[in-house]
Amino acid sequence: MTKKGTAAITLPPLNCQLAADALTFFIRRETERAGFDGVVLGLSGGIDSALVAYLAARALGPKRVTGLLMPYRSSSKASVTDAKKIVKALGIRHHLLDITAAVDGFEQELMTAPDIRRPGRLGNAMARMRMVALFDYSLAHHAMVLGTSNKSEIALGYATLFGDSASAVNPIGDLYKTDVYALSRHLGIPAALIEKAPSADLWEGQTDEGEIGFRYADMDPVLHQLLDRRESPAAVIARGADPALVGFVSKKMLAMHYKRKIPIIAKLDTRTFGVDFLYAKDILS
Amino acid sequence: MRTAIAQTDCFLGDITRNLTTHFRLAKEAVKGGATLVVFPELSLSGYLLEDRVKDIAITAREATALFDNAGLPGAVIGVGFPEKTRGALYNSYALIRCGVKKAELLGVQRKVNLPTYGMFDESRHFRAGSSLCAHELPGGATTAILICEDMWHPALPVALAQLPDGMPHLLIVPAASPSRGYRGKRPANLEGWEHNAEYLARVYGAATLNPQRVGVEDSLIFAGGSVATDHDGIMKRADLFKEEILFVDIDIDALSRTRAKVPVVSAHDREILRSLFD
Repeated sequence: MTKKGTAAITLPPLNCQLAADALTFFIRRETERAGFDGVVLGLSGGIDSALVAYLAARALGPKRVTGLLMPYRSSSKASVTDAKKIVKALGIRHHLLDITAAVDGFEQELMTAPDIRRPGRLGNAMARMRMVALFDYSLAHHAMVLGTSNKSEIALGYATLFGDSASAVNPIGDLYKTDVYALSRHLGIPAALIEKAPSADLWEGQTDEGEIGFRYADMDPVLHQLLDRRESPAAVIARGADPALVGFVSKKMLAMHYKRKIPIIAKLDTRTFGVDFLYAKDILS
Repeated sequence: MRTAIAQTDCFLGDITRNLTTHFRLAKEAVKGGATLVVFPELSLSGYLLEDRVKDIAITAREATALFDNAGLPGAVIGVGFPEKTRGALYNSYALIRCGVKKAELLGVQRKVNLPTYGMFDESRHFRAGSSLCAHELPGGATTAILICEDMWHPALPVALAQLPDGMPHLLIVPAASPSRGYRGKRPANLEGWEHNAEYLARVYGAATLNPQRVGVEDSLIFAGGSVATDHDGIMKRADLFKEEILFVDIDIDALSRTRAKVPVVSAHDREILRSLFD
């Protein structure tokens, strides 16, 4: 995808050994300093949550890691089967929590105007129901909720606000999907999990790349140029990138920024949370 | 001269608790024969202090008194701390000589270049230091302190080399550099530190000790990887992601011989500099 005479638009390969050591250190240190006994994460059967489970087991030992398998009626059967493979391979704890009744209850009791944008709203309800279960588990079992969103998704805002985007600590949020694959291979995650099409699994046949309209393999190098190297969209296009792709990701990156902010508070007083009350989370723990 | 780099982790904002770690590691270093033990930048407090700076900052005198009765008689300890004076807050580093009972302050360096870009916001919380000087260590070797970013500003080593006694033998470069750039052989920030420390040592015929922090503060991962260099290049390198004592033997005579043999930096530089800047 490069024009003659221009430098290739690439994402340089991750140093997997180094990144694995850094993230293992990060998970162990954050869990222990925050005073949690262990961690909990949603295991979807996909590669992102599988990678987080592998890193967490490496950091804390498998007995301090719990995976929640939270299928809905329409979830692919392979999702639970694949999640169970991860549980078995690592020897971590797990619970199978079917969210169908809870989501159906929401649909019947709480959903107004059920005909408006129904599939998207139900998808959001599923993601948020999983968040409810994770944070409830956190309180009951003193386990810290680990996030499983990668940098590509976060950049594009491909997540449900207060749903899968919610966590206490996210170890893989600065890894592009391409990096997630590389690190997963490095850690020996079964190839079948790495090779299957990424999917939010909110409805049958849904895939990330089908819904977004571009492949991660093409998006990630462009995101890297725009985000990390701060190149202009025009410069990236001039170097041979697909203009439609560059336009799409550069717009999304900014348009979806609201999903990465804590709720905005109107400033009236001298010190305001989110504006000028500046403390690290770790200073207060 | 046997020195030691103490690559430490810490509890953010908790000086009392971190002092315990300093004692433990300094004792281990002294037991191994070190007479100088250097800790990273803001080692007593942690790095990401933000609005907490003004609540926990201490005076240089208070920092020194922390080392009274430390059980490290004769040892010189370099520690980083948020310093308060009557009217200002500084990102400072103290050289403290422990006694049988009382500790004595050999010198304080206040960080001159406060990084305020990207993830850094230091000039919001600290005032910039405005002086740079050499300190004499017991035994006669001289040292100067370049706190983190200060090593990256070429004017500072140039200025140090113009001191009446020339470049100090030993440059202590305490740092708390958040790791970033995981697409090369080592974290990219550490590669930069190594190149820079090696360059300084080779050009100026000085030894450098670069104690790095290890630990996590919110999103920031401090990877360690402290380094020591001399006129021949990299002497020693600490591991990543763990606390460590790195012993470094520095041959002051060899440094002096190198300077005599290859006098890259000379008194003549002062005249050149003056004519260039005038």
